[in-house]
Amino acid sequence: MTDVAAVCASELEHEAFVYSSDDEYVSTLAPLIEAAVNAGDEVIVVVPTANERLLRAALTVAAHRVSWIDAAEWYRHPARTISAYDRALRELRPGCAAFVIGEVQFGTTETEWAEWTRYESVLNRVLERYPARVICPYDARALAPAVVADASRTHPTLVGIDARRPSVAFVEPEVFVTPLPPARSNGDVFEATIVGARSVRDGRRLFTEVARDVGFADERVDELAVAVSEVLTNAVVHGGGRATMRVSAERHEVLCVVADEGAGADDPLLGFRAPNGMSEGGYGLWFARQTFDRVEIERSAAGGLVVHLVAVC
Amino acid sequence: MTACVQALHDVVPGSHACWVVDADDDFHAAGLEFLGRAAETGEKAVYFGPRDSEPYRALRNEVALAADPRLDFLSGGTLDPAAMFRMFADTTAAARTEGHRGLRLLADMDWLLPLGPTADDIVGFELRLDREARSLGATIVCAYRSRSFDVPAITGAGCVHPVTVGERHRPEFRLVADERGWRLSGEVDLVTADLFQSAITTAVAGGDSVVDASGLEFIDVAGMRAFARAARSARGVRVVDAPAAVRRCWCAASFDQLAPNVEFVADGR
Repeated sequence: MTDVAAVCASELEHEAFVYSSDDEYVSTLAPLIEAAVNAGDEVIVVVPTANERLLRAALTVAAHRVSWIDAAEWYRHPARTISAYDRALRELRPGCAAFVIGEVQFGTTETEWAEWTRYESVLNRVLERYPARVICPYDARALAPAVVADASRTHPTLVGIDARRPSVAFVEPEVFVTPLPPARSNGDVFEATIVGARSVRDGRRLFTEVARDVGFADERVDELAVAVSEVLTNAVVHGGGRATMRVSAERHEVLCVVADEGAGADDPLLGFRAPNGMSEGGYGLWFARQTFDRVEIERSAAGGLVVHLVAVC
Repeated sequence: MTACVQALHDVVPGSHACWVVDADDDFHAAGLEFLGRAAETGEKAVYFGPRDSEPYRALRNEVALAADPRLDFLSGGTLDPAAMFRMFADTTAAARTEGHRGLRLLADMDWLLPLGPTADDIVGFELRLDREARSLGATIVCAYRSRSFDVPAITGAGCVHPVTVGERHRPEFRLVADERGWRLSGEVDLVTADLFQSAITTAVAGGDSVVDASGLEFIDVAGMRAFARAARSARGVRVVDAPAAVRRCWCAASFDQLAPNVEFVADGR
């Protein structure tokens, strides 16, 4: 489009905007939206419906050129939200930049807060090659103080009504992202040793039986079975050829832990980046993060990977 | 009657079956049982096998036509599917002129051995033969001796035949011809990844295909990738009645973007 858009946004700008009033919210964001629309950017605004109303009221006809998305729908599953952004930005026309306002919905539990905070950090890497400015509003009135404080650790830049400044507390994703405490099983544990292609299949079938007993819908069981198959296949092909699988059923959850005997990997962002198209490697753990509700990857004492998979019915 | 002989007796007319011949199978007795039904079914009994083999010598007088395809149709040279199928079409036409419905063929696949076929060669050959056999209404039993062919070749052959004789060598997945195109059933995972890649690439290459996936019980990401890769050498591929989870995983793994010429449709036939 215009030269301004082409020159300014050559790589990701990920910025946190902490606000404490509706006035501050609208006065800061509406002009930015207007400017982005006028510059010819692809403008995507993902905010709660109440905030959408506030912003629309303050915008001119520019509001019609914005893609409005309900944050309650968009922020349901961190890994899937990352993929959704990745897909949306991959479709940008050449020479065009994106302007995104993404108001993360952190949920109600500390576990969710931690997962979405991690998501914010991961975003810095996964979207880094896109010409996009992504502003994340944080409502200081409603969010836990710890969550708001973490915003300056997960965003390289902070935005205020008149200012943009680097965040001195910013931590690189490779340092910030660590595994969260994995769920522990209270139910009966079924164990299988995975040593080759046939046992991958047997392991997948064992998981399927347990998941069916928990009460997941058939289609969901089938989808989870593919993800389990991928993790087990990964263990056989890349994880030293041998792994232990433990599956257990809780009341509304199925837990599956796969511990391999390979050399592991030093990448804290394992499984967060979408693999490159038709290439062989990297699908297993990415697919697991997309499909299961919670995935944590640790290293065992011997150095292999321990993958914790949780699906909630 | 032994189980093996019974199984050969029970081959349904018009079907294309893979028979894995184990050491303790009585090839002669079972083969005779199969060929002997030709009069009853109105078909012309045909035997293919290596000319210089004991079974050939024993069975050639029990059939209307005996041949060693390598020597008689391929001039001792390379495996040319087109030449084989022309021969099938001609032989069927001649049989019909003689008043038969079609061919009833027992093939001792040892005739392939001098050509040094790989598992991929066998998969490609049988997949194309399946389409031909269907269109000509032939009843065919392809006998693969377990002492002559390695496990990948035998497994591959089994996967691309609509019918397998005997319970001992059940294929994991099947990709066979049906009236609209191909039918994919069973499970595609690490166990069968390479064979599936070979089969699906042969099946959908070039032009448009329809694949009935209603019987597909499982396919992993590697299998989907093989499908997507195979689709790249095709114009269009329509997948009918794939399980819902397959469609979801296909999109989740972004194959809908990587292979946009693959279309999922519901048909429910």
